[in-house]
Amino acid sequence: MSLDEREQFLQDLMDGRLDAHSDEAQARFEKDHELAREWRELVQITQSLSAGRQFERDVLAEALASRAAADSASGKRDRELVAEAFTKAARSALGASEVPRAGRNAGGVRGRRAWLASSAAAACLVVLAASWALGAFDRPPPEDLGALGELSPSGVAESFELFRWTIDSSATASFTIEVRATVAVGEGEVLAVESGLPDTEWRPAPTYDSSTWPDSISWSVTAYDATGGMIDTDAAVCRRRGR
Amino acid sequence: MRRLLRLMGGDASETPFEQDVQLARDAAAQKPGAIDKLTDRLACVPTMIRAIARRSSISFHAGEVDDMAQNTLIAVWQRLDSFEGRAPLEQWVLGFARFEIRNGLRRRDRDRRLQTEEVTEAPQEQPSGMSSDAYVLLLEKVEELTPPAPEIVRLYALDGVKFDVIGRRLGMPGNTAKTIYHRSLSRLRAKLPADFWEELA
Repeated sequence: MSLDEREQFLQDLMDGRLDAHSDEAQARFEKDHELAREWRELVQITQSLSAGRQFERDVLAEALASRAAADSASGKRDRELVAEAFTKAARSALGASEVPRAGRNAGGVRGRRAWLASSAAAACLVVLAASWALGAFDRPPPEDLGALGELSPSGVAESFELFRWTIDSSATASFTIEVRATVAVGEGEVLAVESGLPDTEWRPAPTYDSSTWPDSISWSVTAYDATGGMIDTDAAVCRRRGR
Repeated sequence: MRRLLRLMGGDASETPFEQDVQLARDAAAQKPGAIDKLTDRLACVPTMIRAIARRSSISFHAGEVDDMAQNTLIAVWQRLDSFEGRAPLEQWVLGFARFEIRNGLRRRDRDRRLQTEEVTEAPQEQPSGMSSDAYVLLLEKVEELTPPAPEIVRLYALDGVKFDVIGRRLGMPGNTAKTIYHRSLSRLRAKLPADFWEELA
């Protein structure tokens, strides 16, 4: 089998034009063990990417959920740790950009001026950082940001032409909606995604042609505040009544 | 995690998370209030590190988590200007956290090797399930592919975006995106070292 034929064969398998368990594929694997190995490894890469995708989703969901505990002792401690890291990074960035290399080594007037300037800047930064940190401790506890309510359609639906949701929050600035062909929430092929929606409803644009979507979908909506912080997310599964 | 892209009706240069980009730029410029907002948004980073570690069955003591969180955040700070808003800020930061954990594991292995020269052999951590280490390695290799392959692999394999949508976004036929994706898998296979396959075995 030439290199081109090998590549075409593997591409057919990846595209699903050829079933890896078919007699034709199995016969080729039997003849060419290296080809069989290559296919196994390609499958493993695909599976690893897929598993990694789920892994990242789970990690992010857990991390975002931790915001609900911002008031707790551990939440406050984590915030302090983040503030401290940024202070360090800002100080270090200032040191790298403001202190001229010549000033460190030459010891001349220019160098002393640079040293004085950078020392003054560093001192200012320390004062700023201290006042910022004190401000952080004085900050009022985060308010309850609100929650998404009913999502429609949910369950059996006549069509997928209008998606609506409610939210109990005054902080909401925008929504992102995602629709998937589905077997379970969060899984399946993405059919549509829209970000920056200002209202609590969305009609798929004609380009989406929602009438061609599969009969079972899941959809989710995420509410964001004006800073882009997530307020809440919710999802629904629905099935279009038999056509 | 919510999808990252506005899939229809947008051009390739669009940044769906424009507000996050603005926040990153304001924080980098140390504008009043911006660092505070960034701190609120990224206060979840220590939890992120703990979650990655726990889900990979790796145990870190509290001091190690703090160190890795701080290193992650310092790296994020240094790269704030490069954030393009193609994903939410937290997802972008997750990439830094992954790499920092990998570095943390390498440091630990090195320290253990040094210790075992003096003390009796310490038990090695054996992550189970989806190893964060293998996954990070895989993503590193994805990034080494020739553009636009890394973006196509990320969009298709990690974000579940269809090839025709990827094609529209990148200004190419969907079938071309699919071909690039499949060739990329073969190139990834060639790039992955033996220990990747050992981890999966």
